[in-house]
Amino acid sequence: MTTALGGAVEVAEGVVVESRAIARLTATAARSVDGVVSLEPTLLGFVADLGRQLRDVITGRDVADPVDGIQVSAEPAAVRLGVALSVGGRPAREVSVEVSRTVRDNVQHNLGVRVDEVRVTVVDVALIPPEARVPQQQVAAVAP
Amino acid sequence: MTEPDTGEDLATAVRAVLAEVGGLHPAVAEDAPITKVPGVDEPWITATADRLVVRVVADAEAMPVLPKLLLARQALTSAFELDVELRLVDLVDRPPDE
Repeated sequence: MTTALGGAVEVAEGVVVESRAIARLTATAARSVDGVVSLEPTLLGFVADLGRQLRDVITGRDVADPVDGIQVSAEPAAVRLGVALSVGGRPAREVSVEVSRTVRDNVQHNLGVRVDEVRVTVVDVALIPPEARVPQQQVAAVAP
Repeated sequence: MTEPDTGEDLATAVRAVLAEVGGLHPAVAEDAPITKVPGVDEPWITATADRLVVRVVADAEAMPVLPKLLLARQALTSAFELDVELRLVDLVDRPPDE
């Protein structure tokens, strides 16, 4: 089964981990890698994210990390993961390898789900890393 | 097959087991994918005469979560003498019932 939020994996007798939980942990692990600027949402994910932000405003409560950019292909006893992201500040290949390793280790260790494959797609490269960007107002303030 | 039993007593007992294990919570809070629905008090539990399905979310303190899930399933199986399926549906930053 190939879907972002459907499907499930049986990790032990009577214990099932659904794709949403796997996607959530995958997103968190990928974001923890130095050089990952953001996960790249699909159009559907973008709309869903707007809905989440609206709900945050209404309820005054933050929600956990969204899973945009993550694809989970759940098989009976293992998963294949897809991660779409943009990178910056480090070579894309280096970041991709580390994302793949970090995601695999996290999902296997924390959820007990066997990961057969992590497919990392770099969809954008930020030439200026986010931490180096200076807001225009600050630039104006320090300009002579 | 009997009608699903989603009674309050059963839910309370399952909640007690989850609380004892720690880090696992009923998947019913506003952040969880399963939300309250009209006419069903406890949508995170499905029970028949011989089977109990419990849907939970895990917080960060539950990691790694597999030992907790195994422990919770074992405790539920012993407590209710039913075939228990425990489904982890999502992860949350903090306990959803806080």
